[in-house]
Amino acid sequence: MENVVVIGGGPAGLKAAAELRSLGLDVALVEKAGVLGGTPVQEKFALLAPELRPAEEVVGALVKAVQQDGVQVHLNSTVTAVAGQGKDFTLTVQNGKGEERLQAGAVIIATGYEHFDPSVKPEYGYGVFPDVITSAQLEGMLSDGKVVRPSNGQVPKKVAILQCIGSRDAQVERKYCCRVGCVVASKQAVELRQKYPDMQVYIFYMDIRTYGRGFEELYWKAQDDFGVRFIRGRGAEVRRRGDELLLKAEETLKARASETPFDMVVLTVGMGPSEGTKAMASLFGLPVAEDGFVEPADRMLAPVSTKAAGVFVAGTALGPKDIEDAALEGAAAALRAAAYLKGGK
Amino acid sequence: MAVAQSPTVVVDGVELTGEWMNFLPFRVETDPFDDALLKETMTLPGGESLAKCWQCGTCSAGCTMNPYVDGFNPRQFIDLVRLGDWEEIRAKSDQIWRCASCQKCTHRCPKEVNTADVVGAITALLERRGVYAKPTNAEVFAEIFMDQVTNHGRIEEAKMGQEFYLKTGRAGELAKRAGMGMQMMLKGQMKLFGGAKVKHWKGMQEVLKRRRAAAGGAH
Ligand code: SF4
Ligand code: SF4
Ligand code: SF4
Repeated sequence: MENVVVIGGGPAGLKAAAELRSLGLDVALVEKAGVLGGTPVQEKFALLAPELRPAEEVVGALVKAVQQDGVQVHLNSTVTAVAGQGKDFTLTVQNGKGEERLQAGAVIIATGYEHFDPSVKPEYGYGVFPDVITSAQLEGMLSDGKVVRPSNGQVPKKVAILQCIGSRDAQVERKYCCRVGCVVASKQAVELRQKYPDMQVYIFYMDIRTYGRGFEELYWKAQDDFGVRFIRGRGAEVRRRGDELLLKAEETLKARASETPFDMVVLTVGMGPSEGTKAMASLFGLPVAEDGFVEPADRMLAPVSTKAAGVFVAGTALGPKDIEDAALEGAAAALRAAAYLKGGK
Repeated sequence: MAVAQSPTVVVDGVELTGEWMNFLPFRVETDPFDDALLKETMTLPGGESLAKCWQCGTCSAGCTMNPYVDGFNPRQFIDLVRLGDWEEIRAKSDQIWRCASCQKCTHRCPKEVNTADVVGAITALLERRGVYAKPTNAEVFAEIFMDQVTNHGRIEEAKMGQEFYLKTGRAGELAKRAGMGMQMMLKGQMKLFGGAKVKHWKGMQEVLKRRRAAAGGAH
């Protein structure tokens, strides 16, 4: 059967679907939400690092390709069961109206990630103090064009951005790096300083990890051109005094732990496997690694293949990554699926 | 994602969210994260590139003066300014002044900080705020020496020694050396009460005048 079901309509799934169409295969795309685009759309990403391009422009193009290329799109739908194997899968798909069955010669899982919920670490006061927000919430505010303290609706004068919340932290059993938090924080800080030149923006970090092409340059730009202050030290806890937040953090270069007032604290939250990714891993019997993400057949040699024949995987279901890399993996998975259906492996 | 849904985290009957911690005493310090000093220093000549520093330590590691002057550390000077820690900067003024302006730091900085000039700007900041370096013993000695030559045409050992020890804050040592001074006086090697100018003061003034002219009229 020359058709493929792609599960997940974020950057990886969209790219996979479009590439499969360009190879002449029939494609069905199953998306849990009511819109295509995945997390970047649902969480209202504003500008994308490192080029500061509107997310709309990039993700919008991916969505458009899928819509124009004759991909059969199933919104508000989840895969609840799978039968068969090899080149003959039957997927049960649940949507608002009921159940339907999709036939597939191959399946690509691109079910993505979800942000770490920082209320798991109560010392940061998330969910207790309204002015402690996540990087995703800040992104939404930037998208809406107005960054204000949820407590009083005023523009904050002094903002602290805390890195690695729910990443690189054995306490929450997440030892891995989120890979994008550093460039995202640099980007958000640049946007804040651009929009509100009087705002002081401090980024508290353990290491700045800006590995991607153009990432480091954006970090330099934040420091050199926009006066964003980078403080080496991990934020420890947040308290409230009157209407200001007090952040306890050590400026490690000075060996001085202090408690400093800020108007707003932004938690750069890490990435974990989404509910969808966990569900698909168990449905298709795919192994997950210690970090909770899907383990591919071979991280170096077969990075988008799985040990189940005909089942491929792409994007943040495989671990934290940026949109660029997710789309790249989507394209790679499309190629692998097509080759598989053509009788290769 | 909704804000402030107030999840209460209770462990062994104790509520553990941020509000709970408010019974602990506050120890608020604003100075470590105050940009005023940073901004001021960046307006001084040479200070423009200060904020680019990412604290890698290349400058301090290769710095000419670091091995000679305990605590001479350009990376740290920059950090203290960034933190707005004026008290620490002031406390380090004696070290900060020792920069040899050799430019090694500037040539090695990976972040395009003009480190030598930034150190210069920090010294300018100290000057602007009226903090001057303590002169070295040699500088104090030279000053007293020149004073005596220009005012009396000669050196008076007793006064020289006395002033030197007092001006370098070592009155105790002066007392210890009193015995030696006594012996020198008894042997006629040193006078206790001098104060007189040289015999040929007029001629001496002429010499001094010519020397000053030759030195470019600096005095
Ligand atoms: S990318 Fe940066 S913020 Fe994210 S976990 Fe790594 S070091 Fe921390
Ligand atoms: S070498 Fe440059 S970036 Fe590194 S600490 Fe010195 S001034 Fe800062
Ligand atoms: S210019 Fe000053 S700070 Fe720089 S290396 Fe030379 S002595 Fe050290």
